[in-house]
Amino acid sequence: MKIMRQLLQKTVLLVAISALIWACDKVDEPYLSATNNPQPVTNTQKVLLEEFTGHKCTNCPKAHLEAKNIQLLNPGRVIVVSIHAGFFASPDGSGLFTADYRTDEGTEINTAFGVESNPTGMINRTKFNDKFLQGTDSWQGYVESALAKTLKATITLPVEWNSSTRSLTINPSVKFLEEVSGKYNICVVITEDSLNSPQKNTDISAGTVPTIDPYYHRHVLRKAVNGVWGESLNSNDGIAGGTTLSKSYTFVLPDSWDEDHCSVVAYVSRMDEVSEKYSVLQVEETHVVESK
Amino acid sequence: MKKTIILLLTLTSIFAYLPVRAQELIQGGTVSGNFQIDGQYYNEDKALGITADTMAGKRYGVNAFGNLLYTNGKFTAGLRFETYLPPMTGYSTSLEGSNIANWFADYKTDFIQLTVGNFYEQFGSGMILRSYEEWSLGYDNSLKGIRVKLNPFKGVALKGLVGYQRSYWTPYEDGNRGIVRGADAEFYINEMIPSLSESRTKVILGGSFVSKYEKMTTKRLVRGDSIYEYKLPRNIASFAGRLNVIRGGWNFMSEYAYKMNNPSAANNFIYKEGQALYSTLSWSTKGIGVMLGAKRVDNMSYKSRMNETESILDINFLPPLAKQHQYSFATMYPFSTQPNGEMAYQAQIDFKIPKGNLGGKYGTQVSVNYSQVNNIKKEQIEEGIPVDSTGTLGYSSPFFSFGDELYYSDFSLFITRKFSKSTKANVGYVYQQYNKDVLTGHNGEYPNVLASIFIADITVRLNDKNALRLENQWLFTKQDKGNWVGGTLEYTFAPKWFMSVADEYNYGNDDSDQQLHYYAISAGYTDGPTRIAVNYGRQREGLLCVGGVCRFVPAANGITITITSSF
Repeated sequence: MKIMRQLLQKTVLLVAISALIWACDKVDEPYLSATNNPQPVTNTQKVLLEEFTGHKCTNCPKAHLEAKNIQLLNPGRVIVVSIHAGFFASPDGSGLFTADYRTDEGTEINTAFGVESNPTGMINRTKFNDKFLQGTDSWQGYVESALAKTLKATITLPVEWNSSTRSLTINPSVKFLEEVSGKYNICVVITEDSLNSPQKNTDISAGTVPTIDPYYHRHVLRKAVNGVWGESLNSNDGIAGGTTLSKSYTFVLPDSWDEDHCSVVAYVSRMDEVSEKYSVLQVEETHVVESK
Repeated sequence: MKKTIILLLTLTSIFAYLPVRAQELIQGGTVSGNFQIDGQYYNEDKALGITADTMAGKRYGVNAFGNLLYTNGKFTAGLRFETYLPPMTGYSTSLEGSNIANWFADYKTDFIQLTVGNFYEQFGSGMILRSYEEWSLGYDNSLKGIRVKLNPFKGVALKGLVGYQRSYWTPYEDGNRGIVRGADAEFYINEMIPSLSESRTKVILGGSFVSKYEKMTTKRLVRGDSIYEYKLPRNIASFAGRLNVIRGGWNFMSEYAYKMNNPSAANNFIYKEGQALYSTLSWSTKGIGVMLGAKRVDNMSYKSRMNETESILDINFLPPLAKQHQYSFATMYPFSTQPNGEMAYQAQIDFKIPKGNLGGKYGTQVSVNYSQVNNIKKEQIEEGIPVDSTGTLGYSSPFFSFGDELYYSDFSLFITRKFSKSTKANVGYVYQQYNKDVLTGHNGEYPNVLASIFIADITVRLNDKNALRLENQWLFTKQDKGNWVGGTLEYTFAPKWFMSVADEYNYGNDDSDQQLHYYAISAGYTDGPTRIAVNYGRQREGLLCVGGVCRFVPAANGITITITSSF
């Protein structure tokens, strides 16, 4: 009995020492604390959130909600492009999931970054935690990290919309606020919002299960205007601070696209072979109809 | 190379403090090791949906490792080199690379064992800490840090550790994963108390403590027009206590684990504590063995990164309570552990019918197993707040209540009988109920799969060196992909060669285009510790599960080469 008592005492002591050394944090209710609503910020760093998705991806509606939340948390500073590619975006021959939002450009991006499952996302095409692709619950933190970076460039993105010819004239202009090294491309893409077709779902907080119908697909990548990786801004290494580089593109919206829901997104990304390859320096968005 | 030199210098410096002289380290040491190379070459196969587009130029994959171990008396050092160039299909692309994955140095006496570098460890049944490596899953959650084991008194074993977990090749940086600290004590009562040393009843008691420290970023939630911030704990502790009593053929083991509030991506950021109970009782005597098991798991996902949703960085392991099958059709619908909640029980009886009219000339071995897994009962914590709502306690759950939803059940009967010196047969029947929605991460989409599987496996030894084995399997189900039939014919030229042909035919698929043959032809050569095997054919898509941890295996067509060796 004496040995047992000593044993018990030693065990209690060991556990007590462990608990003291490695204190545990007990959180009591309320588990959430109210914070102030963020104020819109103008002319500052913006972030591109590319979400890889598909209408047969059951966890994607929750990811779509998270993307929307991140936009609300950072008003005007987060630009979302939804890339429908791969297995979960493939259309069925019949039934509910016949819509096809896949694009050649989206599929190329999907392949280039090795997307294996949905939902997943990229923030400014930058590696966080040594990888490009991030799970939904990591987006918020990494978006805020990207927003906190020093502003190096701004983009102005005037878009002229001719309703009779359905033609867009896009004149992006990039101003570099400080000297940057490397080679950069500007990429201009068209997105379309509120495309209505059924979406598989597994989370009741995001909608009905197993299918949400009607479902409005947001920020859907429709076309890359100047190629999937864009057009070069500088042939030589580096761009001096104060430099402004401009491009001009025209694009005719197909009849089936609703111009009221289309946007032009332009982003500048690094393209030379360095560890920061693909990383987005700045991004801007202009709605087609607002630009009239 | 520079890193390796720094590593060796560091190791030498550390162990300079220990009573091991450098000369002794070199003289009289032994080096051992083992290797495995798995390579696949992929073909297009339109019937399987594999085209040049879907392959995206990936024609081959290579996964390989080599372990080197140096042992000299009380000192052991080792390293593990891994290559995934590129990873074989079905393995995470994050594995791509080639480097020293793990290294360690270890010094062990009767009193103390010290390990620095990467190590694998398990406390009790692993419910609050288990680090391990499973090659077939591409899984490795080894800890990198320092571990101390002490045997201060006879019958007392203490462990303490601190480290961070492997996350593919990603180097540890402040904040990119948590730090794991833990301590474990085990008491062999019969060794501690001399008067009990001869007792037929053996008692082992154990207790563990684990804590994760993770630097948190802020996490916010938009609810209506308001914005809230989660109160996130940085230190998340867990405790476990266990008891093992052995007497004669009886063996009772039980472990209870408790985890503090741990809001994470795995549990939708709820603040409920986690609990688990795992108990087994077994009894065996000559010719018969019985095992009973029961398990409850409630909110026990425990990862060293709060936002992690992949099958990596698990601090703990929740042991499965379902039969681990060997035959391929019986593994088509495998159980995968549900850390957010499951209630399970299992019973198994193994017995031998003695020689005689019923048992035959050599006796007959019979094995019967039944296991069932349900959800746990979850009740709303408050009217109007749905179960599992983020930023709340989540739910309440009566500890001993089974939920109404069946996740999995498995009944199996296997009979093994030797008919003559040259002929042996194993026949089996398996009936499974598989909740495809839950076990594959869907909701309300699929009906439960009810599958009956018949197996007949006959081996005939033609002479001392040559043997022929014929295996037939049938799977009947009205759900999922319908009925299957499969067969394997294997010829062995002992001790060096074997070859086999096999086919699995999904003749019952409702989609006539998917009524496919999954054919394969294999050959292998063994020379001492070295084995080379080549396989050509189709690979059926599905889940590969080991210990309830699963990896999705996509359909493939091609050649697979496997080489293993050791020295």
